[in-house]
Amino acid sequence: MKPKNLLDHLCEMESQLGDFSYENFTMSEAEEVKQAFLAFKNTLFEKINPTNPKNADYNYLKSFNETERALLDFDMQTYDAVITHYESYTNVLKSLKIETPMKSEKYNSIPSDRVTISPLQSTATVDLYPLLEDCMGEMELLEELIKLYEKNALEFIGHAKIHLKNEDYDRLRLSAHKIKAGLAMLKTNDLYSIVLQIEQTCKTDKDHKHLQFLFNCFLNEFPLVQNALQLSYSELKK
Amino acid sequence: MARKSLLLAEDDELLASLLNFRLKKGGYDVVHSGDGKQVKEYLAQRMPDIIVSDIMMPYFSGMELIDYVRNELKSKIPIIIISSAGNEENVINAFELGANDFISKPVSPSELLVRVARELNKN
Repeated sequence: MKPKNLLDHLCEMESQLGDFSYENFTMSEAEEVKQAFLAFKNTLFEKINPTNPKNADYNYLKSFNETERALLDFDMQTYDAVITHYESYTNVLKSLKIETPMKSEKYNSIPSDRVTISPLQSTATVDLYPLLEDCMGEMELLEELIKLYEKNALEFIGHAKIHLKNEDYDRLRLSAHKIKAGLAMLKTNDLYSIVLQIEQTCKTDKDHKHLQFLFNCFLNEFPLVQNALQLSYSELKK
Repeated sequence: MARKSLLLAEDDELLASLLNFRLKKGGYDVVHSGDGKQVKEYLAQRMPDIIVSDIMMPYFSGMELIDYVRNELKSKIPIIIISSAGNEENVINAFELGANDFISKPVSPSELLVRVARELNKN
């Protein structure tokens, strides 16, 4: 495939992805598509990189003049984002067993009405035994810690909702920071991972849409973690 | 032997509850506060044998606490800082201000007990 063809394909992908949105992804789906994209991107760049000695087929790029090379670099950067979205989308469709238009020889429009995101299937499991050891076997203390944990999480939800509404990312970051240690302490790793991302996003690009998505993930995950906590606590109480 | 007094300055109730419990079990007289103002007032009246403080606290941060103890109260009592992961810069600043040791969150109570004992034995 010549560079121009590749760019044409990427351009077409971009137009096909007009309806694409990651908002309804679950955390695991988002992570999956991210990893899939990184693999795809690396493979693509390896193939097009003229300095890669493995790519004898791409030696013709050496014949490009400076302007053509600069243009190609520019286009590849531009389409980097497009590839991200495209690969994410394709993998989610695959995981949902929806046939993607890319399977056909010619790109057709993506039937967005066929895309349904599966309900959150959390793998939330909690093992309270290490914490019980820290509590020196005191079940009452463990129960108190679980209550405090839930109280902190509910406070966080309340605060985060307000801060998101006010687009107050500094306070959102502080709220995330405050709850982080408790989430780690009870080893509720999924929630910890979400909150860590909220904190990081508040520090960096302050992408409201992404923060809202992460917050929704937290809202979805929290009841599942609560159940897992209760389950683990009941097991220990036996 | 008299029990050593320990001031625990930590605004995270969850962590403070666990540490308070374990430090008391470990034989320390623990005074806990999650309010920086209260911590300052307490220190102005009485100096504990050791301080364990979170860096990020409302009204009176862990940094301010170290500065207050070292420069205003002129005390050399050991101060152990509790810091979140990724706050390395704060930890360096804390050492520069006069902190003796630090421990990262999530805090292992057993590790903290060892560190507290070690700092007290140094003095």
